[in-house]
Amino acid sequence: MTGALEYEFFQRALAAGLLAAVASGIVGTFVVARRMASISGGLAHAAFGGIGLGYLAGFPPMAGALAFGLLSALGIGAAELKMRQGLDTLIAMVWAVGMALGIVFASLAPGATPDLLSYLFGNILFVPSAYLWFTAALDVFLLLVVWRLYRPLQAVVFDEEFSWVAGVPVATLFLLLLGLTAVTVVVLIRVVGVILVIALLTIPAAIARHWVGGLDRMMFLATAVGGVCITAGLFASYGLSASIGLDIPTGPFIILLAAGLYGLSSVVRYLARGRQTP
Amino acid sequence: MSTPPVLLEGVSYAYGRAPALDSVDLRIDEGDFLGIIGPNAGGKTTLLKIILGLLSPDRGTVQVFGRPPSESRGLIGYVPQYARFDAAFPIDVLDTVRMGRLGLGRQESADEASEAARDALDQVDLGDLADEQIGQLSGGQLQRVLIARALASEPRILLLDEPTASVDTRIGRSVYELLEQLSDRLSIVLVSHDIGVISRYVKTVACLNVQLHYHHSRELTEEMVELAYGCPVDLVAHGHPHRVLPAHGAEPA
Repeated sequence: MTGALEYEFFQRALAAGLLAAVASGIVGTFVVARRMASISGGLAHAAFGGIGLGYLAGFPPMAGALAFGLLSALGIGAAELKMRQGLDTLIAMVWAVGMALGIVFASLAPGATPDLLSYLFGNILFVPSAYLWFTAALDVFLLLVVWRLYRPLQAVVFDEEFSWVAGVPVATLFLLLLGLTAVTVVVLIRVVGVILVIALLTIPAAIARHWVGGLDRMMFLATAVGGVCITAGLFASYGLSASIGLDIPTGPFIILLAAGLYGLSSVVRYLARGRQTP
Repeated sequence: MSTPPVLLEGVSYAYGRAPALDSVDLRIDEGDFLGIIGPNAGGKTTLLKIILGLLSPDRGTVQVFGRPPSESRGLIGYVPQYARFDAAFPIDVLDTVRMGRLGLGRQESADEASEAARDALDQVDLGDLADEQIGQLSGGQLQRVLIARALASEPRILLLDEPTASVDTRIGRSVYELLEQLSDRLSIVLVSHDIGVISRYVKTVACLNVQLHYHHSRELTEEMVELAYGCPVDLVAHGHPHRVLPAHGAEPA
């Protein structure tokens, strides 16, 4: 199966997956700690509206995804800050409307839209080099943000009200965080697709939470777990395809591996805890 | 003493049509240790949030050290209800307390911030729990951590929301004893529905049930309580070192 590494397309897919794991680990940690998984799901589906518009208007679908994702992030973030309570309904609306717009736009687009499915379920095996550069730049930016703003971000995610009273620029930081979530979501669409982004943002971080306390250590572990799942998913789907001709998309494979790992982690943690307390 | 730490004039606030505060006047001076009691949904948390600037009043003015709350951020140490915290949040005690050092324009190294946070933890006697996850703490310990976080910001006034709600009485008492010590060097305002314990430690008591009844005294008259709760409340004041109620005429043994 290591023969896969001889192919350039596979090397690129692996590099892309590992770069995406970094963004996913950092942002996913915030998403899990702030309990805003539904926002990330909403942003992914909002981005799909931009993908459809890209087809219709003839610009790169991913640029549309980025624009729709960012605008939705700012909108949801502003509403969240203003109302200071759950935004279930609004998020569900953004989620569904984004999806509906994407489908309507794409159906109106001239010609065939063959790779619409690949946006829904991911298609990491054929990434353009621009994607690699974009993801690498996002990783660098995320690392810079975490390096410079770790404490204030931690405070805002943990306790918005106290942070505001203490003088932390809560609104700016929260919108920055949501904006970065939107960009990460768009990057992950390539890896696992719109529908499964929410899983790749939450499962590795949730596994990390089983074993470490502290956002910083969670980010490292979530990145590692995400990287392992993406790598294993790539090899498995390539292997199945090359050996027995079974073509299973990589994205769902990655998510199923991550979910299995989560189950295993839960059980092991449960047993470990059980032994500690007599 | 020229500008009081907190000055509210004619403050009203409503959630939709339901009034939470009606024409509240309140002046808190340096050195005050005020307990505000009142029934649930009587506007206690709303009042705190208006002083903090988290809510803006529909009518009336709020001044904190002579300025609007949004311009005096960092001067108030806020201790929220610990019960609303997500105990599963991945953060340890020291990092939680360090949040108090994040105020506007405070330039200090990471070591200095940690040092200040450890000092604050020592003040609440939790120095040896610095590395614990907050999820591992008891209610009373978490309450003290949140007080330490507020103290770390070197506030000039401390505002506490239900500091002993659902803490057992023994721990509740130790939290109040800590506040009593702190009241020597800080103004303190706390809100609670816990009449008995609150009135034992604070210097003055006010009653809040949409309207505020406050006479800058420690004595809680039956009239105040009745106004606040809307019905006579049987206050058991026996055995307290200070009576908070005037002696009844004919009290059953």
